Parts: sequence; structure tokens; C-alpha cells
Amino acid sequence: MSKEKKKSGNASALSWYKKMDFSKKTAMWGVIFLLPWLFGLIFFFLRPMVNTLWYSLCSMQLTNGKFSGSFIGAENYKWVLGVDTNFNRMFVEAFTNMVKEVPFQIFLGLFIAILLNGEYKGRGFFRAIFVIPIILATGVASPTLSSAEAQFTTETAEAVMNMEWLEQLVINSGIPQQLTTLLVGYVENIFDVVTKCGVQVLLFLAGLQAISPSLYEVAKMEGCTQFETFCKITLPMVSPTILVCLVYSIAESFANAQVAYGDSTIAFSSYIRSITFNGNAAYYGYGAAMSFIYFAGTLAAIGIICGIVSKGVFYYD
Amino acid sequence: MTKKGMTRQERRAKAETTAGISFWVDLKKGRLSKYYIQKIIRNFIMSLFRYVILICLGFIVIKPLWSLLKSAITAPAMLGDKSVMWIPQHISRIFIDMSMSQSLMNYWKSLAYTLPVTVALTALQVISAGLAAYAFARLKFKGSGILFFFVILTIVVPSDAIMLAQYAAFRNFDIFGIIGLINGTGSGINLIGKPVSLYILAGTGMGLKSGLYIYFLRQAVRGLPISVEEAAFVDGAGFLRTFFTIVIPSMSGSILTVSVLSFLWNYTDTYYTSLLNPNTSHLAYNLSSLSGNIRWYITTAAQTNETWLTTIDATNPFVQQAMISACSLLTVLPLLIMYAFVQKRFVQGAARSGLGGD
Repeated sequence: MSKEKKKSGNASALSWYKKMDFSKKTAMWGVIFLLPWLFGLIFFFLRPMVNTLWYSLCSMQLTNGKFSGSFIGAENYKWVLGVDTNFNRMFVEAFTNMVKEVPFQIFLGLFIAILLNGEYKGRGFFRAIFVIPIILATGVASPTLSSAEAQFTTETAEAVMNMEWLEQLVINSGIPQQLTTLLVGYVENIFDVVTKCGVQVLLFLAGLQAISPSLYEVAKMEGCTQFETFCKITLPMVSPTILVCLVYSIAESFANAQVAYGDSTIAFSSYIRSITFNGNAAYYGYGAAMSFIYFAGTLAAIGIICGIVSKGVFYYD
Repeated sequence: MTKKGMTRQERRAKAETTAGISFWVDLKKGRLSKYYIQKIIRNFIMSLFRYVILICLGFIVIKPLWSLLKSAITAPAMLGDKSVMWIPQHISRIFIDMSMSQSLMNYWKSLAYTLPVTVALTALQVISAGLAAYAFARLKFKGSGILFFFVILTIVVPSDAIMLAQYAAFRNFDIFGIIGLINGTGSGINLIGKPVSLYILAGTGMGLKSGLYIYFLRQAVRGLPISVEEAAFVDGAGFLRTFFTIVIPSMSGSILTVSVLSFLWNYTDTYYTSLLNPNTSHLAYNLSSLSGNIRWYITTAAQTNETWLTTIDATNPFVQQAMISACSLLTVLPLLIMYAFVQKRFVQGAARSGLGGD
């Protein structure tokens, strides 16, 4: 028991605390530790969420500058899924993008983190470099990459890595074309790919550093090969981090999904925003319904993928 | 010198020899052993592989930053020169000086405002996330599993969906009508435009990407061996004491990572700042509005008679581009400097080194 309690609480309060059994104490302190978060959850998350849910079930009107809604059931959802011509296609596209992107991000993140983690000269320099993608991904420096320069970069990349012959070679050797195109796509957009996995690298680096060196020592003494060490020690020990990275990557992938809209691409979230605030009050309900379908979908994806992955996750407790 | 011109490695190996048996040198033939040569070659290939990949990826990563730097320090006359690839021929400080000036970024004053706010936000976020994470990982109670589902929900739900309602909550901030009762008006207080609104969000674990921090720290706590905490309880430490003296030091690496991410994202955040605390002294917020309408800023500068306006042609789009580049560079620079210092602290965790049985 903490000293503060001893000093401040009077005798009766203390005896009440002392009589409690350990599991109850644990539960009580659990609630105490969670209090600030619970407060935030209720006021700044659940209340807004419930509001949005209510809007999505209402037909919204704007009268005298105030929103008011009358309950209409699932009409908004029907409109989104049945009438709106873009939403379904965009949603499917965002989903397929996610399935393509996320595994590679996790893989590359872990790979870079392992490379960064060892003992080598210039470690500090390389580690410092790999925080740049996170900064760039926030968009602080992005306006400066003017369209002309971006195009120039793409052209150089294509000139340096003209991979058509390699692609043909790989396809002709019997590897499925879809897989090849996917991989070639990664290499061609290497800048995007690396920028997107900055956070994962940092999280994995922290995960790798939490592994006790003595485990590796033991493996070495017992004569494990590098591959065995990786499979038996590194992978299980970073598996909790893999789960976090998966959740984060899936959520981010949906949040930043670029989908085809007309002749160009548009961020999925900004399409929803454009529907929500298109000036007509009725569309506010449609936007709310879209938001709900969107994060129900994200949640389902996370639930399925993480449900499978979490079976293999190793915890100490 | 010892005999036969042995190399340093051979001499060291010889010194490590016990009872005439050595892994390092072949004593009969008087040269390095086969295994040792194999090891050297393997290590060489490994580090070559590592450096090739890291340098290539590093190049990709650094290039945009370099082009930022390039366009920020090029002399105005050289702008738009297609022949300049990496290093401009003539370097000038003019764009940096410009962006520091009062009418563009007001750099030092903005930095003095942004840094303390960001540090406070980071501290609040890390503390609230750490407490919640420990509760979710170890202090389980009925329903904590369901509550954890809400953590995932906070990661997943796009901030757009709850934007208006959050704004309304701070426009008329009130807790169960208590504040309204105290000030007698019956309505809450307006916290929009004050950093307090951001502090409240961060302190209650609902700030920018707080869900990710809670989840990550929870996993980190679950990765710690529970036996150390049990030992602490048995020895009479309370929950608070265990948390602050055992759990936090053992997962300092993860906390550092979360702090770095939180600092970085709060520093560059324009979403919550523009929603709840639109203040032009905030560097990233100012930068985002600046890159949107640089012309307006130039007009303002003309009204305040900035000296730099006379030295360059501010209507030239290349010049405007370079101005924005210089501003971005100055915004990003403190982050890079900070991280360069912090990354040294990422060291191998020693949490489990004292535990044989686990």
C-alpha cells in the first residue's frame, strides 16, 4: 500500500482498504488508473459518436441555423448503399488497397527495424534518418514537392529502374502475373511505401529493443542458426508489436485510401467529407451513415485479421 | 613485436587460447582457423548487405528533405535553373531570413510558443496513455476487455466523423452542468482558441492518436515479466509505487518511442489546432495556411514594409515556392535536431536480464 494513503486516510478508511482482497484492490486501482481515459472516452468520444449515429438514422433539416432531425430508420444507409453511385465502389477499392498494402508495410517495417537495430558504425545517423518518413507523412514538407518535381522524380525512378524486361522475365518463368505486377508496383512507388512504414519501423525498433540480449546469447551457445534465432526468438518477442502495427496500418490505410473518382483520385475520407458538407442539410445524415459504414468496415477488417494473428502472439502473462 | 609478424587479431586470438586449443587460430599451421575466416567473411557480407540497403533507403528518404534544403538556400537569381541537380551554385540566406521575419513565420516567437505547448501535450498524452495501458494490461476488472474495444475504436474512427460534436463540446464546455452552475449562466465556457482545449483532450487520452499509444504501451507492459511486479507486491509496494518504480523504468524504451511519436505528431498537427486552437503562432498551423495563400502573406509584408521585399521579386512563382520551402525547412528542423539527440537513448532493454527462470 502506498505511503500517501497511510498518511492521509484516517484509520477507518485504512482498515476498509486493508480488508479488501487483492483481486478487488487490483480492480479498484484499475478503475482509478483508467479514470482520466474514461472521462475523455465518455465526453469527447462516445457522446460525439452517439450523436453521429443518431444523425445517421435521421432525416436532417436546418432550421434557423440549427440542425434538427426526425427519425427515419435505415433510410440514409439505403441511400448510401443503393442510390449513391460511388460509395460501394470506393469502399471496395479502399479495401483491396488495404489488403495489398498492409502486409508489405509490416514486412518492410520489421525488415528495416532489424537492419537498424544491430551494432554497426553510423547507427545513430541511420536511425535519425528513418524518422524523416514520419515527418514527411504528416504533410509538413509535402507542398514543396511541386508537381513538376514529383514528375521529374518519377521519371528518374523509371529511368533508373526500368524493370519491364525483368517483369517479363519473371512472368515468363511462371510466377503469377498479379503477384509480379504487385511487387513491381511496390518498387516503382518505393518512396510512398517507405514513407508509409515510418511509424511501423519506429514501433518495431522499440519492440526489438525490449528483447533481452540474454535470449540471443543462449541461442548462440546452443548453436542456433541465424534463421532459427529469428523464428524462435525475434518473431515471437515482437509479435505483440506486430499486432499493434497491424491495427495501426489497417486504420491508416483506410484513412488515407486514395480511390478513383472521375478521371482522378480522391481521398476516401475527403469524399465522405464532401458529401457531409455539400450544403444540403439532408446530406449530413448521408455523410454520417457513410462514416458509420466506413468504420464498421475498418473494424471488421481489423477484427478478422487481428483475430487470426493474435492466436500466434506470445505474451509473458 | 612478437614473432612471425602475426596480425593484431592473431595475437588476440593467441592470447585467448586456453590449454592449447583455440577456436580462432589453427595452431599447427600457424594461421587463422577455418572457422574464424568463415566468420569474418560472413560478417563482412552481412554488413555489406546492411549498408547497401540502408544507404539506398536512406537516399530515398533524404531526397525530399534535400530538395527542400536546396530550394531554400538557392540564390534568387538561380531559381528555376534546370541544370541544378543537387547543390546550387550560389547560396544565399535570403529565403531563410525572409521566413524568419515577422510577416511570414515570426520564427523565434512562434517556436517559443509551439515548443512549450507541444511538450505539455506530449507529457499529458504519455501519462494518460501509460496509466490506461497499465490498467488494461495488468489491473483487470470486469468489463475492462470491453473497454479495451473502445481503445481500438478510437484508433479506427476517423476524426472527421466526430469533428463537429467535438467542436461543440469545447464551444460550450461543461461537465454535468457543474461549470454552468458555478458561473451562474447555466451554460458552459468557451474553450475554443485556447490551448486548454488541446490539453484536456491529451490529458484524457483522446488526443491525437492516443489510442495507438495506449495499445502500444499495453503490449509493452504485457511483454514485461509479471514476476517482477509480483515480487514488488509481495515486498509490500503499492500499485502506484509498482507502476512508477518498476513498470515505467522497465519499459522506458517504449515510453521514449511513444514520446517521440507524440511530440512529432503534436508538433506537426494541423487538424486539432485548426479545429480547437487556431493560433498563427503555432508553427505547423501557420505553415499550412502560409503554403495555401502565400500571396496574402506577401501583401501583408508589403504593408509592414519588410526590407526583403525590395531585394527580390515576390510575384515570381519560383520565389514564392522557395519561400514556402524555407518555411517548411525551418518548421521541420527542430524536430530533426531533437530526434538526433533522443535516438542515442534508444538502448537495449535490460528488463529481463536479471531473470533466469522466465
